[in-house]
Amino acid sequence: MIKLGRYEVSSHPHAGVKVFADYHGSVRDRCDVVVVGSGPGGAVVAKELAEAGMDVVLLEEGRPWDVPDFKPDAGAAMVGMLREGGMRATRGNVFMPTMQAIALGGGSVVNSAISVRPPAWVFERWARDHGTELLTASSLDAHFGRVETFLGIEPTPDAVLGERNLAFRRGCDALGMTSEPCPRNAPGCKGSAECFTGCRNRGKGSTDVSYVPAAIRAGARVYTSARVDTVTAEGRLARGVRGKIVDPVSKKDVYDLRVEARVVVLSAGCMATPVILQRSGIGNEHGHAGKHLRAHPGIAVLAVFPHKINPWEGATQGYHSMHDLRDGLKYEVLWSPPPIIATRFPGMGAAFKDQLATFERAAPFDVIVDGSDSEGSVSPRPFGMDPDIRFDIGARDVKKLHDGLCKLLEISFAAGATEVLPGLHGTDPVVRSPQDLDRLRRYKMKPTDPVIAGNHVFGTTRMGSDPKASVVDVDGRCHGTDNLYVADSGVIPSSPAVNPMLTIMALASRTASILAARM
Amino acid sequence: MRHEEHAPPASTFPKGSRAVLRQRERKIVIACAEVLLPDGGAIPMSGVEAGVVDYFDDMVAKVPPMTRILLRGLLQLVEHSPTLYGPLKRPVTRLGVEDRRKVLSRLMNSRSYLLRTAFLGLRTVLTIAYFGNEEVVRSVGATPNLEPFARTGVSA
Repeated sequence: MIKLGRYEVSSHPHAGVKVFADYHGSVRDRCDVVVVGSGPGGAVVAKELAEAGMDVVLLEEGRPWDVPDFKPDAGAAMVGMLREGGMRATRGNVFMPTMQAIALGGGSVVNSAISVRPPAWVFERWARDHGTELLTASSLDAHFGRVETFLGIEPTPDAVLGERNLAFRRGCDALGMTSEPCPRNAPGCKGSAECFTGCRNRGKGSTDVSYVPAAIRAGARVYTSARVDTVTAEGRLARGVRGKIVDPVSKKDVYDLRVEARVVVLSAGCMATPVILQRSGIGNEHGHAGKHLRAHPGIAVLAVFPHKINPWEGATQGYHSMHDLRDGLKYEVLWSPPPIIATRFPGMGAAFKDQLATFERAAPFDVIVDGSDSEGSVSPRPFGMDPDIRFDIGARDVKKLHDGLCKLLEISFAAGATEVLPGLHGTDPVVRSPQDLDRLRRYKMKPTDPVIAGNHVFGTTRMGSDPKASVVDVDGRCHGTDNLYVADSGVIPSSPAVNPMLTIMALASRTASILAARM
Repeated sequence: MRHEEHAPPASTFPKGSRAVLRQRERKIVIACAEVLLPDGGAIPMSGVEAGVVDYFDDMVAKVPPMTRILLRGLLQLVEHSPTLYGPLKRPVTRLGVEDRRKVLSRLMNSRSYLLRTAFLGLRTVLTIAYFGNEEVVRSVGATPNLEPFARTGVSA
């Protein structure tokens, strides 16, 4: 593997990407490696293998989004760039909203760019529980470093934090909690807080502007609006993939898609990859694909201050506290478009509108928990519909969320908030005093009381040494196959404790280096 | 500050570009919007004035088929919730504003998780639609600004 250096910033990052208008009939291709999905996993594999001299085809179901396509409008972004119009939710003991992108660059186009290495004890836990001894903080160090260098990952600079992030820092400092600026792949961040709707400053190094262009420069062919349905196989050997070219507007299947390859790498994300495996008759010999869905369930509060915060200014998620990470809790500053945050506001009618008008004095903070007591599954529905996603949040995780919620209130008040909206059914809609907080602490929270979201999802094609308990080995290769790999969040066997993107990319980098050596 | 230069369009969805809601479904949206986002208060513009009905319609048109079914089902659940769960035995669209407020308030505070979630889903989608209007965004001071710290000399 070659080049180490930051990605090239281009005013035309999608040059060379094939789009729907380029297709005039069935698409057929042949290559060394076909990679399915251009998010943090697939884009890394495609770039690294193309630079290693492989003939690579990268397939992406979504379309490329250029700066003029990005609108600072929550509805337009959700409908355009997210699966199920941004309204995807799990079923189980709660309806948990979970957002997955459908775009060239996958989730990296719409996430907050947080790029954190897991602590060493995460890999020790994985080794103990899943037999992944080869993965350690030190053995992955070079892969983490390679990704960090290429994406220009740095702690969020003070100059773009803004009052929302600074208030969180003040609160943590006042409580004696450790906190730090989030490392992010956003070297050009200007603090516009538009990560969710697509960065119009192109300050974020999402994979569509970083890894994908590098893959193309190294010779990879990139097809968008190309949905893969199955892996074609003969016995243990994957032969390629089949699917459809999809009209990005009508969403209708238009042409057939078929790519033959010596190696198949599935990076369609932990909600789509297991469904492809379940349909394919390869790579799922013990039936674990789609099982063991894990997540970082999270809840948010809205802290209201006596002074202006202007929460729409400053890095989207620029500060966090890992003070209680060992206990499975991570606290963060949060931002997304105002109507999404407004789910925290109680009431309706004029009172609700009056609450909306306090936005300029409000700062949302969130807590995510490790989800060690929660599990779900992903399975296909008929007629090509989106997958059926089940998820049950366990009692211990509910307790952690409740503890985290109370801690967020402490941080808020320590930062100078005069009231906090906990967004919890069954309790006071506004917390104003220590007595209120004590009452909240005593409250026995049920999983259905708060709005719990889970945007970090993983585990559905988990790695492990035991083929009877996992889907892929530590290299990402599906057990019982010669040449079928997975490189996305699905391989993460249990919580990485932190936001998973960098871990996905480092593991993908490792898989790519192993593949390059094997081929 | 360069607020005006980066102001969003009045509505990202062209009004009525791909209307799919039936008239009776539009009436449900209007009936709910009149209660959830009335005129007056800290943000003067009402939801209906802000164009939430057309926005909602366009969202329904553009989401995948299964999500479209769910959104339509949500409207029907709200419309018939008085009949199903009482205390008023008429659909929402046939109730006066005050009775509609009671019905939606009952959903909001319901002990049923399903009904509370339905209320929150409806309010969230309507709020998204409300913020699709430039004037509403300006009213809360949230006009997008690509370089909020430009004066401090930060450059990309």
